[in-house]
Amino acid sequence: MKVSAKTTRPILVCRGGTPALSTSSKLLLSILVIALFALSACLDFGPVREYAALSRQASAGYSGIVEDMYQSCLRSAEYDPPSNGDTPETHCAQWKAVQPGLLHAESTLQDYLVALGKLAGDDKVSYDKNVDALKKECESLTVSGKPVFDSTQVDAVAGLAGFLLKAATDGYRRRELDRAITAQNDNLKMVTGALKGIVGHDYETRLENEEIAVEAFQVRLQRAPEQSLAVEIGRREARRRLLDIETKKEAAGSYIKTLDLIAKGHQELFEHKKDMGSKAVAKLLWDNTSEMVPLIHSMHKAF
Amino acid sequence: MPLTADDFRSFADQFSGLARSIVAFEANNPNLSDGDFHTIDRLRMAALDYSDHFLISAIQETLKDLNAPLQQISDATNRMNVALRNLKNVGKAIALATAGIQLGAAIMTGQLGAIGGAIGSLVNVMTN
Repeated sequence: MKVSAKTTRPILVCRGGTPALSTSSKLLLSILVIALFALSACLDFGPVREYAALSRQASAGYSGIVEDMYQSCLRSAEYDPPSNGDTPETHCAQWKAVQPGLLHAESTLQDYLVALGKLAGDDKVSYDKNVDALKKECESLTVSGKPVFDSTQVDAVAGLAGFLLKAATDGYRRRELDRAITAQNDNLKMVTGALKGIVGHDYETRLENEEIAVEAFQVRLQRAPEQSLAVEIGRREARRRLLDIETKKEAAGSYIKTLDLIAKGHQELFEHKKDMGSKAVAKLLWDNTSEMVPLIHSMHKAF
Repeated sequence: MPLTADDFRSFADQFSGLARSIVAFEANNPNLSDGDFHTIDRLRMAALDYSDHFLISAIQETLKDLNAPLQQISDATNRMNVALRNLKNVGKAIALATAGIQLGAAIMTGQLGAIGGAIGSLVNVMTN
């Protein structure tokens, strides 16, 4: 059965069968396409994506800190063996017990930052492929051996489809990013603040307690009646341990600073949510993320 | 009034400070008898254990306070992931439009074989 062109017209997105556009219409369409592309090019979520990726990397250093809280307790127990006959593992069991909760808090933050980064991701390339396929189909569309569209019309249709796609998806991304950032800004501050307390106080005090245990060991070595080779080896080992503790304290300090930068970056997104893709916000976020890089390196060195 | 995470942190600091003072005392009094030294050193170890105990209480209290904000952040993450899935569907919509054009062209040219192929492509896009 032969189906007439009229009945099939609604299926054709390219509105096949319409008469060729006039020269002025083509010109207008071309200007419109160029102008719309220029407008759409101003929206760049790249810095938002970069901020999210780096923040995620920074927060990854946290798992090393959480594990080291328990390890620090075990190391202390080497210097101060539990007096009640407990093994070091039993003595430090509570540090192990809080690990899942600590990791959950951080992974929730990390998942949020991943989703934020993906939503700000640039999927234009994959859309372009789809638009190219659409363009090819329009080009190859013929009726009675004659092409339905001339090359200008095909370009205009593909250009418009690409623009509308980008405008629609960018608008959608922006709206969803805006919604998440607005609703979660206070929560993010609360979580980063809490993690700062845990790392900046609780972990650092645990390291402090380990340091005290090592220093007490040094005092015991001083009291040893014979200053043998074993005592000298003990002294050197204690000095090395104290240096390790300092490195870990510095890494904890770096993590605190990255938490501040994560919160600051999110605050900047919150304050500039209406112009999230602008160059001004990009600059703020670049400054923020570039500060994070050396801090992340410092954390990776310690753990 | 229940103790807060900050209260526990303050206690931990005090016991940690006490332990440090004991180490300084031990270092500055080398003539302490072994018996006195061990008695004082056991106090230092007890102070460190108390400090650790309060640090863990501070962490547990902090985690308790985080339950609600973490749940809200998690909900927002889920919402963003739904939005991402919606964005992926945009690509599928264009593929559908493209497959629709194939079908339209096939119908206009009236070639049954081509119509069958185009319907196949359309179904393929819709089901993938």
